[in-house]
Amino acid sequence: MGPINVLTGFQKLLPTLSLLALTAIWQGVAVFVNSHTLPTPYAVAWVLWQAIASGQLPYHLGVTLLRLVTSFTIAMLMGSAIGILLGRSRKLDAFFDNWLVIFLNVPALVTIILCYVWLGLVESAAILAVVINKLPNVIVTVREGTRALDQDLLDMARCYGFGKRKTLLHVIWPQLHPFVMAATRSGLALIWKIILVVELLGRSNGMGYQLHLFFQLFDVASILAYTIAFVVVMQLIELLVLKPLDKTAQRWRR
Amino acid sequence: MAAVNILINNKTYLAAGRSVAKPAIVDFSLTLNPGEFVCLVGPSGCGKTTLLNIIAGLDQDYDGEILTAKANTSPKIGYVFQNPRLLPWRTVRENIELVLDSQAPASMVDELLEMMQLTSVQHVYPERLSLGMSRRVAIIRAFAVNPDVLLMDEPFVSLDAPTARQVRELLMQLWQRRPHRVLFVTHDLREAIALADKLVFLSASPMTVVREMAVPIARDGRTDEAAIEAFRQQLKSGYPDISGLL
Repeated sequence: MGPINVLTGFQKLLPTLSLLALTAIWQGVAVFVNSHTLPTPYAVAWVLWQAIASGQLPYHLGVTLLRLVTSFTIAMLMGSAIGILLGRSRKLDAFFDNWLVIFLNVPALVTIILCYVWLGLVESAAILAVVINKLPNVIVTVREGTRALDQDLLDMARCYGFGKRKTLLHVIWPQLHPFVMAATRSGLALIWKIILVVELLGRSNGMGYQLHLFFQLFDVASILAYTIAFVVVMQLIELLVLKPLDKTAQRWRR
Repeated sequence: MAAVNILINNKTYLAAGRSVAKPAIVDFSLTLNPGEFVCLVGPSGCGKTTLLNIIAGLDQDYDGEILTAKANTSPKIGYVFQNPRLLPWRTVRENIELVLDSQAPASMVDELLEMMQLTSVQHVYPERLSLGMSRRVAIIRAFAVNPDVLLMDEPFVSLDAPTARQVRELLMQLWQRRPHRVLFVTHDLREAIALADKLVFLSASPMTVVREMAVPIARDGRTDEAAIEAFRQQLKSGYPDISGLL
């Protein structure tokens, strides 16, 4: 019993240890290089604290998160609806499949530039650019899920007169859930990277705008501080929102 | 309460890779009287499931009609499929409640669960149930909608003999309390004799009715294996037109 307990206790510490190791390596390299382009962890922590205390970081982070939530919600809702339609109708799918392939392969940067050129440097253009980048992804994933729907259960719902709402809620949605979760995870990762570019190119606030500013000043400590803040927020979303959602939706599995 | 008449003049199907449709059901007609338990007996693959799907409204591509007392209305259907087809992400009770109107009293579900001896597992998810239990849930679900016609597609197949007998007895108790019209598909003649008021023998594909016959054994004598066996032998030896189908 003893050695096993020690081992599992040690295993629990491993994630913390690995973070400490990473910080230690960073510290070592920073001291060795001794350049203002690679500040030490301590210097970055100090900048981070000051940015938070001044309200600058919370403001820009909040702006970016708001854009993320808005564009993500629009992309997921539209993508799920279109994905279900295409998965259910062979004709629609045959017609729109080419569109999907094209939009999947247009580089994110091109969409962003075109949106700004056509709509001007406005908020709606920024949101639209992110949505267009994410939408095809959601459609394809949800379409796959819809194609895999269990026809036996759909027949059961039909013969018991479930109606559209009940069928969607109790028969189709639970089967699509894993696919939607996959689209959510890959979507958040994709969107927040795209959003920074969108902000860098055409907005005057948000993380992307700030990073651009720091780049012009060669202020690496601020760049790293903002990055850390963002990574932490994304991890919190995973832990506090996505994981619990997964758990409730999967409770029926053995 | 009047009879439900099922008339199917012609039902064809297109086999995969073929261009010519083959007949599946020809000149089929059957009357279901109120409270009547009818067993369809026929060789496997003769089109029984196709027939049930037509009656259930799942297959609309046929020439014929399903007539109920009220003109132009399709009968309300309860369907016990070969596989239970329960929603795995809803509990036993939720699976039953989902087919009901919102006004349906909770006491009815309680009563049905009690009769099928499933009260203790009502909040369990179907994946944790044995096949026999899942089948019982599917039977409750079918009775719960108060159907005009209750369709059952070999609901006891792939159960071991004692479990099949137990579920069959529970089904009979439930049906005697709530005597809906039942159309029960089986290829097991003993099972059919034990359950039915009327036997309907079906031909191999294209399917049609070969012979209808009432079961002459009283309801309370159906547990007598010898009587069932005797009637089975009588059918096999006395009717050359159906003995080839059994």
